[in-house]
Amino acid sequence: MVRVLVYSIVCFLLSGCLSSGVGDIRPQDPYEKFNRKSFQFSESVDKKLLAPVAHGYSRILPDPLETGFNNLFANINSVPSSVNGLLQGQIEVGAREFVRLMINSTFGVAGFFDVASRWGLKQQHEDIGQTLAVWGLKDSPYVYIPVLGPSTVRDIPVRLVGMSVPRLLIGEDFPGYATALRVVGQRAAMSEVIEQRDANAIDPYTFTRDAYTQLRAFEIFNGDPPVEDFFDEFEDE
Amino acid sequence: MLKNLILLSSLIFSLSLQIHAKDQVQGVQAARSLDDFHQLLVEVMKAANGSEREQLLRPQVVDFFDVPRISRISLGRTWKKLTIEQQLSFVEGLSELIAVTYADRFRSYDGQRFSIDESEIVKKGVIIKTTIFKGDSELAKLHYYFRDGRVFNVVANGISDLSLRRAEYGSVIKEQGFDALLEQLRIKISETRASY
Repeated sequence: MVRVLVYSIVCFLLSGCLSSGVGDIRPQDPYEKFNRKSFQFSESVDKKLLAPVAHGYSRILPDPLETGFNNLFANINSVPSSVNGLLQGQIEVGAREFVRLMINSTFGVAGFFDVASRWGLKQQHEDIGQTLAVWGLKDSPYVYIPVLGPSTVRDIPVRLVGMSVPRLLIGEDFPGYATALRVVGQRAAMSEVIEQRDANAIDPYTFTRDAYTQLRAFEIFNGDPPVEDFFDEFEDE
Repeated sequence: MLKNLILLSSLIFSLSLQIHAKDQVQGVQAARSLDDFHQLLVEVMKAANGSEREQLLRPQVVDFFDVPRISRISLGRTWKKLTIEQQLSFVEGLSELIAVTYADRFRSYDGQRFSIDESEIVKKGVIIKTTIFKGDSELAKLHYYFRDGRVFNVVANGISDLSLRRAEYGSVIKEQGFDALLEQLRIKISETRASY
């Protein structure tokens, strides 16, 4: 727990030089040339490797086991979620995530079963990127990280924390294959969303970028983001 | 003087009541229209195949969605540069795309239900906030933006359909031009029908 706090502070200090925040929900994309190439490369890796593995994973693993493994990693994420809830001044959220962690780690067999949700304690995901946004830094440029996916410069620490938290909490006993299992599980959980995107998007890169930016705003504002309502567009009529 | 003041206050009060009543009527009409559309979606999900789903949806899409306005806003400044024929082609194509997308997305009935949570009167329109459930699980929050009785935007869990369209269409027009966008719409419609 202490190591996670220290790591979070380090990530915050590292990202302190970034200009980032909430501001306008339209994405800034100054690195579009690089981002498009990174997107194309990542799509190629996904189609040839990740998607087939994730598909096989979902087909072979019974649903309760797949859900259980996802719950395990979600439970580990309760630690940074709780810390970031508190850092944002959301005491109730921070406390609830901590209580969820306690309940699921004990009654839920290390988090395999999400007992806390069944008891009415809904999960609310908070991370260092949201904390930085709430602390009021300016807008952050969009960046597509090869293989890892969409992000902003502000949200890069989220990836670093996410990858490091399991090993920080569990130590050297955390098995290496668990990270691979986590990545495949996350990709499997995204399959339907990615299928919908591929079915509906005319320009998948732009679709992904704008959808990601809006989704982050949804998370930062806890489900009540400023949405461009377009009512002003009618003034021209 | 006092009499005039009382008369003026009564007039203002009665006018504001009328405006409030008109807003409430707008809200009720929008909620009713949305409820009808939800019932249609349940019927669509129970339909035998994709073609049948599309046939049920096509006439209702034009009534429920303000496709000309969606077209104008999503194309931005490009809209005014188009000829009437180009504008009509785009509106027709977008209507078809919306119908096939819904026909593809709402494929099977598995106990889904819709609930209307709240209606909000804003500026010159109405926002109806809804939730879609499957059993006891909440699948998504959908906010419908109404103007003049028809929907011009749907926001699902914070993601605005109209914002996405504007960004995508703007990107394609910038790189390849309007005709390429129209062609991409037609390809998307064919691909979606092929996947029914």
